[in-house]
Amino acid sequence: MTERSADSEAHPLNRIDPVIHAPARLKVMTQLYVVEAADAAFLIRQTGLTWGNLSTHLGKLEESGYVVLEKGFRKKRPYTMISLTSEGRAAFRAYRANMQRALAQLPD
Amino acid sequence: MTTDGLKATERRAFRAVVDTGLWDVFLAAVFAMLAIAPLLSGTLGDFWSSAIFLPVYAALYLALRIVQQRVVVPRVGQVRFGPDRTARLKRFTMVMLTVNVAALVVGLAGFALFERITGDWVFPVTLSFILLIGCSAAAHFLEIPRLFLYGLLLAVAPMVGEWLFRQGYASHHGFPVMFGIAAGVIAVVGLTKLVFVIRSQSPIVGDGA
Repeated sequence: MTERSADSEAHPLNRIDPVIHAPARLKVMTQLYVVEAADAAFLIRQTGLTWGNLSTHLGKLEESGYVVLEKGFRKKRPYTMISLTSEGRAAFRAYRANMQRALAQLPD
Repeated sequence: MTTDGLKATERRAFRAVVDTGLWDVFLAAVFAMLAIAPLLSGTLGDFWSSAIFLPVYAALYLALRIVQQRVVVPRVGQVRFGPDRTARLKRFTMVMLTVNVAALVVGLAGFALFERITGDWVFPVTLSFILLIGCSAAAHFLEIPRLFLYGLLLAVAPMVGEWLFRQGYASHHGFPVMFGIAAGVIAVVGLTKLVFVIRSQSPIVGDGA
């Protein structure tokens, strides 16, 4: 690895997680970060996404190991609760730190 | 995103799920008892005029649970809150328990010491203080500032009621009129909020995420 590519790797912008960085997924991750678990209706209401959009983004986050879907029945009614995995929480913390560092380095 | 920003997001999430107006309606019903019970005490006696409200509360609580499950949850969704919020709610429960036990002890001590304290200012002042402490604790722990205003409204009720009673403008130490007004205001606020939640947010339907 050359010196230039090492510098470029070290820049916080290059360490931004693209899975979280997409606006819709960032909204979902933020909502899930501040609670223990939430259902899809809550996420739709808070993020403004549609069912289809949310489902697609949750699929991507689940694929990355950031969220886990807990399906079950309560009083004979199906429900799905979505929560961040410990990996997802760590990734979100790292994303926040990298973004803060990257923005702090920008000139006024 | 700053920590303050995340805290605000968590607070918004909590309020979106909890502050739907249903609890205001229940609170209004609780204080409506203080307005109605004195009017019934002449015919039912002191004990039954209050005890009769227990099944009413149970029925109202069940009705509100059904509204919560069938009407509110499909609109606002469901959330399990994290350890910070859970700890805060536990502290709130402990504070409310302490306030209620203290109120009971003060009430019993008052009756033991003064036999009938209702003719004095001790009762309305103590009741005002307890209501103010209880509502302020709720406002602080639940982070719903509106409850401070409810606290003021309810705290004013026993003292103004006593004054109206002494001036000959109200019966039963002014409880029916003052707590009736307070319960009415809280019920109107709660119902307005609930109607707003229902009308502004249609139920979210889907086959699960």
